[in-house]
Amino acid sequence: MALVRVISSDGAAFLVSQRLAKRSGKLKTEIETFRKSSDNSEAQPEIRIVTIRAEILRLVLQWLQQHQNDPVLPANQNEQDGRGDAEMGQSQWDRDFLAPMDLGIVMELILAANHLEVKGLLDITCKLVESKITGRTVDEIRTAFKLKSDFKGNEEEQTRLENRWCVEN
Amino acid sequence: MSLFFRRLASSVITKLDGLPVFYAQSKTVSAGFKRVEMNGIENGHGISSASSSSESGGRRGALIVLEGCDKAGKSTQCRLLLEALKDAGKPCHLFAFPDRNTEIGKVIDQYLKCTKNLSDEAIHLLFSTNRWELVPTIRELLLNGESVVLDRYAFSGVAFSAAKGTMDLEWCMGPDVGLPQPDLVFFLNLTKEAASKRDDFGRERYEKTEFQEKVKSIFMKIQDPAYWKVIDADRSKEEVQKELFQLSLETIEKSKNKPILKLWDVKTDNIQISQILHHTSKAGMIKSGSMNSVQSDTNQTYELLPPEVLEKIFVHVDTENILACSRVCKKWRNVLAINNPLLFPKVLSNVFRHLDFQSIIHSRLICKLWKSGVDILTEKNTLVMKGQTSISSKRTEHILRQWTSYRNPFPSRTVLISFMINSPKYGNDFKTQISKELDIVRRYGKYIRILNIKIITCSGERPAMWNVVRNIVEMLPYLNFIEGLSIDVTFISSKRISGPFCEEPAAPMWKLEEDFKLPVMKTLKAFRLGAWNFTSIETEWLYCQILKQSPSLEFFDPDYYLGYNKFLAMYAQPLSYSFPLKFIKLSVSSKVCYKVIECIRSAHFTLSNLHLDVFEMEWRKHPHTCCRILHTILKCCGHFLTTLALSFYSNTKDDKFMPLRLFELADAIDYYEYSSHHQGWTVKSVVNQVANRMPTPTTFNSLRNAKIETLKLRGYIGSLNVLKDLKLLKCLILFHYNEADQSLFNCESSFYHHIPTLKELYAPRFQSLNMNARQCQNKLFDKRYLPLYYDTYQGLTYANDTSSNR
Repeated sequence: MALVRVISSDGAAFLVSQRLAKRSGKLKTEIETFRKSSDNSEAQPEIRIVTIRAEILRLVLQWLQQHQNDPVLPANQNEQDGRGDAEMGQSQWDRDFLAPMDLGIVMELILAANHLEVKGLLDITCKLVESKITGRTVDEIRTAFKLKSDFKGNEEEQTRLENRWCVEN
Repeated sequence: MSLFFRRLASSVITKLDGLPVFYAQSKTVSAGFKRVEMNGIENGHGISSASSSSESGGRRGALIVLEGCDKAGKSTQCRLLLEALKDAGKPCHLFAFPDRNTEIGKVIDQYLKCTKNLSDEAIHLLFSTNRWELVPTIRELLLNGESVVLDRYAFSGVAFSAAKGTMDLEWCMGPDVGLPQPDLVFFLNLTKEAASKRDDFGRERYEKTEFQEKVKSIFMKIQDPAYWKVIDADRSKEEVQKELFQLSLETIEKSKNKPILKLWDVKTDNIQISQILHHTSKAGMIKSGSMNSVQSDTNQTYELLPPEVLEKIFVHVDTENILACSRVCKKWRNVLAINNPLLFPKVLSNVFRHLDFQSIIHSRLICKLWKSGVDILTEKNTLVMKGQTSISSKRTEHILRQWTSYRNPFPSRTVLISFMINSPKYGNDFKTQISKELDIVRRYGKYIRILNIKIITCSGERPAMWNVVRNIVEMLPYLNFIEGLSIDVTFISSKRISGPFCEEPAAPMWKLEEDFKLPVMKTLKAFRLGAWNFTSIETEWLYCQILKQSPSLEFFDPDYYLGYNKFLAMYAQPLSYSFPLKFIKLSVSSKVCYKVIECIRSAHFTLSNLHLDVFEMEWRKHPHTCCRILHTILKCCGHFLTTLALSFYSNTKDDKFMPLRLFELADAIDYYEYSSHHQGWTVKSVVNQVANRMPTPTTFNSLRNAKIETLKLRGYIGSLNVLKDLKLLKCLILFHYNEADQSLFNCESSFYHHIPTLKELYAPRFQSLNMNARQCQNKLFDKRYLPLYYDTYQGLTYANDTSSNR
């Protein structure tokens, strides 16, 4: 089985099958680039992902492994056929997978999934974050997301006023 | 540990980087990881059954616990189960808690026999310690693939202590958090009568009936359905044993590849890492360590999320929460800026798909969108209005006001307005009513692009009908901003006459030109006057006026039967401009047809949609006429027509001719409509007619080859009484839908009816008809019998289409 070494930002190496790796858009491109530039077709590609640390990379690969037999969706299919991600339904495995993670991990996963172009994972993680936003006040969101308001003076109030019309009847 | 692991991982990698052979790397690295795992176990907090289990082929034994109140037969059953499992070839060990052999066990023993007194807290902790003492042994056995049966476990410890009432449940559970979680817990449930009957009851400290009941209730509280199984222990011990054995075998099989989880540990409850490691070890891949919970990097802030990811997140968030988000910080606000064209069409397309027109109109989102300048009608996937028919006239003003009251009205936005006006009399009442409606439209017209105004009305009186038309026409000068006008006036005649063959040039009701002059309607793009039952000088005048005064007219549907001379009269003038007409619908007799086609060919090269209703007294007498017509059309206009709808109307009752040969010629047609129409048909005869005219299966095949995209078969019912025969109606509908190939045919049943109360009369009964083909029900009732018509609303659809193409 053809393998590929994927190396995380902190130096941990993961050996995964190329078939699995190719389910990530980014890794697929990298592998193909490697193939083109390398004379030896047997050589094992090595991909360094400088933005993702080992633990997160492991989670992504774990997710990919679980979903390796899912059909690959074309990139924009959801938008086109109009069935939102909500209708896609998450598997029980996905829920279990995400359940113990705190928001920080989820955020890192989103970034990783975005970087590696793993659409399915990006979808479920985004959905999870969305559920954290729903029903919270501004301050609660700030606390949950560890964000600081960078509005000056009455800018925040102004934003509120600008958008007021769409909640009023 | 995490740090250690990371350092280790990187050192391993660095060391091995130079090695050319994968096998060597793999071996060393796994050895390295194994060390991590072992280290974890010794420290007592890293659970890594995973790695070790992959060594032993991924199999581990099951941890089975028997719990229950005292004297429920636990010890006996444990023994029996152990023997049974061993006999079945499953390696198995039994431990009983408290284990009275250890040092701590001895103290517990004294306490239980009432020879030593200890505080409740102390004895609870001792019990817990007693269990922890055995954990390494148990774990090792499990990982070696041997099952372990436990007589009592942490559940007893918690239940008995908590039942004393001096410690709360959570405190009691604390010390036992993190013990290996059993794969199966049998709770032997014994009724208190049965319990007190058993021997020895009451000898030890806890064996008091009320206390046992309390203990039981706590057991029930801490049970976890994932592994908890209540067993009725009132039965004989053989019966109980049999059940236990069976369930145990299943569990042993199931838990083989699962990791050993931690009891009551929220974080690790559901992580199933061993599975993946199991797979990887098989596949010869290496994974990094298997810490059960990944620590988040505390230095990480979420501001790092790039805008495109934020968008992806916000797509799922609903409006009100989006507002909250927009106030979180500047970055979020910018992503959520309402003029972000990336985000909202996406949101909308998902939202609108599920909404009807009314809801859309009231949706705050649509207002937001419009305000933001995103023209929904330019978005291919957000053709909001399409297929929607009407805003009820009562709500018109309210809605319009709502739309325009926002700070930034949207002058270029589109609104589709339909009036359904039903009034039995069309005197001054009607005039007031329609004036009011149109006045509202006029007032808001500068804010909104009015795509179409649809007026549907009917009357039994001819003069009244023309009053209606006249009233509308009089309003037109005020409505010179509209882009579409569709008027349907239906004349209910008590006489059976009228119809395309009964031209009756009546004296004009108005003094035309002198009386009134139509203004130039620069914006009018679509016009339809559905005055089907009439031919009159007024209508002709109106048509001519419209054609003359509307230089940008693209859609013209006079829905009107024309003689050739009239046709020429109507078209002579307009034809002299370069006329952007794209869609035309004409009703002509077969004789005139050729000339009309010729005329169209000579002038209307912009025309792409031609709808011809061809009338003939009796088609069967001229079996080749229709084919010739089609030929001519294709020869003359085939190269610029994209849609051709041919309807063949007959005015004879029993005309059973179906121009089947047409299909053979129909290669070039995308759209073919065949309608039979006769006033005064009964449903029965319609059914028969349709049945006789339906193409046979062979015809269907030839149709498929002919690339016809839409075939419409329509039946018209002209008489009220027959509608009562609902069974027949059902037949008709089912006939259409069952016989037709859904992918090919867009069948519609049109019921022209002239009784305003049709809805009330029949709707409930229609509903109760259990129609097999559900979509046919939907198709029929979607339109809710809104007015008196169920029609295709071509005018509206067309107007929509053109604006969306722009």
